[in-house]
Formats: sequence, structure tokens, C-alpha cells
Amino acid sequence: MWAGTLPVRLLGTTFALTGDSQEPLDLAEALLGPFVERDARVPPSRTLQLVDERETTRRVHLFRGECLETSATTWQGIVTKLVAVLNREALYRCRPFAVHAGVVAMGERVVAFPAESGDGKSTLVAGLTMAGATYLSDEALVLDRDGTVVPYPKPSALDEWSRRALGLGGGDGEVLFAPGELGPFEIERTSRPSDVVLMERGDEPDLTSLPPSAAIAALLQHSFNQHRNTAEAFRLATTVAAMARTWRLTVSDPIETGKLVMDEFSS
Amino acid sequence: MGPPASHVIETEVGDEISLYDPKTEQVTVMNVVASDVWRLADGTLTLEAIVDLLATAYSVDPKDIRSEVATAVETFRLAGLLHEEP
Repeated sequence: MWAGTLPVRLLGTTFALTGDSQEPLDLAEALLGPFVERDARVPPSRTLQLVDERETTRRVHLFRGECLETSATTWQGIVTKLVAVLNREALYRCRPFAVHAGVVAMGERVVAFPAESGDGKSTLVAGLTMAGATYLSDEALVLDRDGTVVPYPKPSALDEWSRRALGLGGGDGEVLFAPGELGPFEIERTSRPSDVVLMERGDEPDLTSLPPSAAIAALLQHSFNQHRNTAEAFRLATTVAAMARTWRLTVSDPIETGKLVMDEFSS
Repeated sequence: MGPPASHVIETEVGDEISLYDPKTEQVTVMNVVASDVWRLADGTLTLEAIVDLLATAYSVDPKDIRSEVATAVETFRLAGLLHEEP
């Protein structure tokens, strides 16, 4: 017996989240608010169930049909894992081109930071958002067929180190911040990337110009789905590189690095 | 040497050329020197002729760029980007 259903739509894929308790659905809705599907006519592509084991040892589970996706000991824990599952599936299915990147907007400029997990993009994006940039994503630069950015303001996942560095408090493990919690966000935009910023760690924050070829290489190397249509990925990567400026950003302290980026791209 | 294989898709961004080979689904992103080599690999010039032309264009000694030009040409060949005589 399900307590309710929460329909969400991420990057064109619709999910129906069901639960035998209202609590996890409320937690999910608080995190995924901008993605809640308000159009009741849109059928879900996938259904995921949040189930309380209700036995001596408290376990809660996330099921996809008969298949157990993951488990946790709290509803908060399972909803955190749920967001990761939704993210993975939405990116797997999205078309035509998605790049592992953080993305923010500063006025008319859209700045993308292609990078792998652990390179610091989520921390940098969170810091920029807290400083006034508009949050578009901490996970993916998604492009439409004409190179227009599709914002993907999923909940930001920040670990303990990142939270301390940004003055967001301590605590253990990873914490999700809902869109809007750290600063402004957008769910729609009609512009193309204006800047592609490649990150590397160093002692002092620094920003130097790079040739467009660096952007082409980075966008393709960090792509989630270029293998599905390599020709289209090549076309979009070269289109972006032709229109955007390309930079190398040396990342050190996230606050200082964020100040450098804000000064450069807000002027 | 050359010319480019007919199936290769070429896109120029700034001074640099990127190539997409739909047969292998491989992308080759080139710097300015490799891009210039690609432009000169039209099937009428030898490697040495390309070296001499670029050395003049860059105002450098041919021996200073011969290695980079040769590397670019070898990269094109290994990637199947140049037309090969049967």
C-alpha cells in the first residue's frame, strides 16, 4: 500500500517515486522541487519505490520493480542515494550532449567547468553560487541541438571538507543542498556557454587564456554520452569552442578561487 | 604526402583544426602547427617541402620544427586521416 507518488522529470526522463511512507516523499520533494512534474498527463518512464523494512534492524530500501537498487538506515540516507540514482539514469538517457561539468551564470555569461568527480567543481560552483552567481548545475553541462544550455540544477552534494571550506558547518558524510538553498538558480535559459574553464590544482588561484582546441578536447573527454553519437558530439563541442572563451583556472582555496572567478566573469 | 581522406570531417576554430573520422568515431584536436601541416598535406608536397614552407612562415630554422612536423604527419597516417594509395 503506497502512501503517495511523487512524479519528477530530470533532463527529459520522468520518474514516479512511490513510498509506503510520506516522509521520504516529502524529503525528496524538498530536494527536487524544480523537477517535480506538474503535468499529470506525462507518464513516467521509470518507477522507483521507497520501502521501510519495518524489522528489528531499521533498514529502508529503494526498489526498481523487483530489483533492489540500494539501502540505508534512515530516510535521509535513502533519499540521498535516490538522488544519485535519478541523476545517473537521467544523464544516461539525456540527448544529445552532456558533459561532466559545473555550470553557473553570471549575468549573460554562462561559465562551464568540465571536470571529473573530486576535481573540486562542486565546491567551486557552490562557492560561486553563495557569492551571487546563478546555479545551473554542479554535475553536467547539457546542450540542446543548437548548443543552448539546458540548466540542470540538481541538489548540490558537498562533503565535509567542502562544507567546512565554504563555512557551511561540519558533520559527517555528504550533505545535499536543494536548489535555492545556497543562492539563486535557474531551470530555463536560452543562451549558449560563453566560457569553458579547465581546472587544475595549484598553490595560488590563477586564470590564463587557452586556445579553443583545449575546450574541444575537454568537452569530449568529459562527456557522459558522446559515444552515442560521436559526430553530433564533435559538432556541438566545436560549436561551443568557436563561440566561447577557453581558460585554465588554477584552483587553491575555494573562497579565494571563487573571488578570482567572480571578479573576472562579472566585469 | 596526403591528401586528406575524403571521409574525414574538418572543423576550423580560430587557428586550429579539429578532425572527426566517422569510420573510427575518433576525434583529432590539433594545435596551430599541426593544423598548418594538415592544411599543407594536399598530396602535392613532400614532408621536407612542408617543413621548409612552415620554417619560412614561422621565421625559424627548418631543423627546429622538422620533428614536430614529422610527428604530425605520422599521427595523421596512423589515424587513417590521409588518403592512402591502394
